[in-house]
Amino acid sequence: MAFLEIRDLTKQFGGLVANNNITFDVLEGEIIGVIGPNGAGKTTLFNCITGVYRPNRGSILFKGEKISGLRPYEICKYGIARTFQLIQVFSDMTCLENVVVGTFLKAKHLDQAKERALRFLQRLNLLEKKDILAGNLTLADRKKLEVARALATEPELLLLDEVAGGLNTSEVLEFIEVVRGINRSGITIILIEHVMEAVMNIAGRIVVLDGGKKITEGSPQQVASDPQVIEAYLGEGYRA
Amino acid sequence: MKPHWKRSILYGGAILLSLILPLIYPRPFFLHVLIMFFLYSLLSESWNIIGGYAGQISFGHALYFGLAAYVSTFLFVRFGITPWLGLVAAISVASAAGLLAGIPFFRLRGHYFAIGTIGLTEAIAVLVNEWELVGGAVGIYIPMLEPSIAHFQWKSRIPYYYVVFGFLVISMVIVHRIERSRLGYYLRAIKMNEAAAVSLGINPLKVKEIAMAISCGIAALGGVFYAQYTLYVAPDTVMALQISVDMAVITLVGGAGTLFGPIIGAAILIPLAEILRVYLGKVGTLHIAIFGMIVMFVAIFQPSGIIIYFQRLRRWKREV
Amino acid sequence: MEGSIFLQCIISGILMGGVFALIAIGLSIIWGVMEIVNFAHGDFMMIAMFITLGLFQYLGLIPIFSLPITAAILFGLGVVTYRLIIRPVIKAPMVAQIVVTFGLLLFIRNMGQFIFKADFRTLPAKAATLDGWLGGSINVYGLMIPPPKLVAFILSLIFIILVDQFFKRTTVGMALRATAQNRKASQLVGVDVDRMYELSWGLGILCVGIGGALLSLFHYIHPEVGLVFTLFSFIIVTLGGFGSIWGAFAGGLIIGLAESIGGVYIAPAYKFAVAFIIFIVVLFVRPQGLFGEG
Repeated sequence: MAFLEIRDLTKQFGGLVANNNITFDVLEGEIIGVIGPNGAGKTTLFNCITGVYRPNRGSILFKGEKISGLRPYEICKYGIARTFQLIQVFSDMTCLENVVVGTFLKAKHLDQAKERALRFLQRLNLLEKKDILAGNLTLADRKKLEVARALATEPELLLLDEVAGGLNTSEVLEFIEVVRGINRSGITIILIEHVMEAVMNIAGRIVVLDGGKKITEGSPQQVASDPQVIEAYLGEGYRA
Repeated sequence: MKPHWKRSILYGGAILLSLILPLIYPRPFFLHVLIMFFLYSLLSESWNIIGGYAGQISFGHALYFGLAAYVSTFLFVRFGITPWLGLVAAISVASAAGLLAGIPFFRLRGHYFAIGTIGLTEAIAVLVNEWELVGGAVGIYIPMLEPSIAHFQWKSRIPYYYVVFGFLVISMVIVHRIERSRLGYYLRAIKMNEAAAVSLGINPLKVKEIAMAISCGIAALGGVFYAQYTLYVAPDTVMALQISVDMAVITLVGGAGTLFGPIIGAAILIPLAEILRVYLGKVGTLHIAIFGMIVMFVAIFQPSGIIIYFQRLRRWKREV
Repeated sequence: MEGSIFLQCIISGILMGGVFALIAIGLSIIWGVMEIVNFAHGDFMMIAMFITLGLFQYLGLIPIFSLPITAAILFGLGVVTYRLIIRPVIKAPMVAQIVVTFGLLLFIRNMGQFIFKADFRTLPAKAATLDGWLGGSINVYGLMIPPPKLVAFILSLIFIILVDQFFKRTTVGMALRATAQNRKASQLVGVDVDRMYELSWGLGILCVGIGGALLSLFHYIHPEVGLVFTLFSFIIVTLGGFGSIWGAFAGGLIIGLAESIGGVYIAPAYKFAVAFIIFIVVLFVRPQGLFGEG
């Protein structure tokens, strides 16, 4: 029994099949990357896993239990957290308050929640900015904040949606370290990425989607030299 | 933790002043205005929980105020049960009604929710209007009895003053505690970004229902008090759209989603309303027209409410 | 003779429904183009009713002739309201937009009450029957059709058709529809969005005004009459679905029937409750309305 099992996952919007019979496993403790051209269905996949969408067909099992079709807040309680492609921090709350909303999943009262939140902020190097409104942060800091907030719910599986997008080189390097650190602390990670330097360096395995279907999976080296993958990208005129 | 002693002195002073005020200056009209100020502050704090913190703008909140007033009055007049016990029943009924209404209505947003709440209150008021058991359109009169605590009735306004002040303090303590609790943070999260909130394990309906129950409970305090103060309940007095609107408007003008917003709003609008009502005599509802102008003004120029100016003042003082 | 009472209700309901529909379309136009719900909607209708009454009482103009004047005044009111009150809050959060039109509701309704007192008035029979042209009742197969309601219905229908054609055939109408669908794209093709907003308010309040003037032919006039019609209009637009003029027409008929049948068979007091229940049912069963696009 794998940590996360995705079986024949299909999600349709009217005539558009965004996810078409996708099947793969995620093993506990690994970092798995999901790549593919724009519109391949990556975020839809995340949305199905986290309960935002209910799949039309297929199922998703987490630690042996069926989670497909559950509401997002129920899935969070199972131990799955996520970040969003378009950053969704609470702009009118401070960084600390943002993370506190996350820690309240497990914490009982405010002092406990704040104490734990401060530790998560520290792990993401945001401690000095704890009283700054999230809306006033730089893009990179907002992305870190969203990760800190998701971590605050103490998940076992973390889904990162294009976190490296829009970051400069040093920020990407920092991001790679952060993700490795999270994984070392025992959290399994699935990341959607367009930034190849990031995903090829962090992920142990890669799943490639194109046009809603999974076209291949394997190690970064295997995937990078797979002719189907190259065609999917170059055929789209895509550049990382 | 920084010592907030300056603020504690301010609060303590305000409470002390409020406590001794009726003993210094017991003029009935003055006390009446203050009683109305405390009552509407209380009702607006109740509205604030749902309309301010949760962001669901309701224009039908008087329903819970009115239901509570009816419950305690009915139990008192029909069965002789003291309004203090009736209060417990009233809070239960109002909260239950709110929970029930929330199930379908919290799925609505913005305008739909606003219209829905107006409609619901109007519909129930119509039903009560036709229900003979509770007096129909005529309502129920509470007879004048021996002044006593058990009867929740006194000759002078002063005991009423202290009771409603006590209720207000209770409600403010509740709201303050909510602000510093999981409920408070979850409400703000839902209001700001529901998609993000659910991804963090927050169940929006459950959170709003809890808030609604508390909000209705506080409104019930106001309802029972009002019934005993005016000795009369009827659909078009205690379920009036005007009361719903007042609760919303006072909070929005003062600053929704803040502890003191409703107080500030009430401090501005209630004395204004009472004075206008006296000086413009029986010319009906001109003061509400003026309310309307103030509301438009605030909505256009300062939608966050008057409290913004106090917050800026505090920030400026801190920087200086 | 149960059957004929029922049929009478149906006729009455349909005739009233047509007028309700016109009133609701005013709300729909503003909401459709700007996504702003005008809570003071019915109060503009109330103003139109009083203007109609006043023009008759002081200038002896019967509604058919005073209609253009009423319409022009209300169009102007719509534009003024947009410029003074609505334009400042376009970029503001939805709360501010709800609150501002609510403040307007409070203002108009209570100023009306202050000026006109709380008496119930009706348009004198002379005016309602258009100076005696339409005396008595029209008798069709034993059913009575009151002429004022019939005239109101016919004129409402004519106007609704005009509005529909305006949106479909004229350049301005298409510009309005474009703005309703996609503000940014419209700007890119040269539509002056501010003008469109202004026009939508003028047009919306115009519809409300004409509807109100026609309503006064058979409905009482009172400063507080606005709120119920705001609620009805909201229900009608929800029933009929967004962007659909004929959907609103159907919605209007349904509400007219509900009011008429509910008023006779249940109790007059419950008229609003019936409409409200229909509203709640539709909202939860088919939120896009009976005819709307999903």
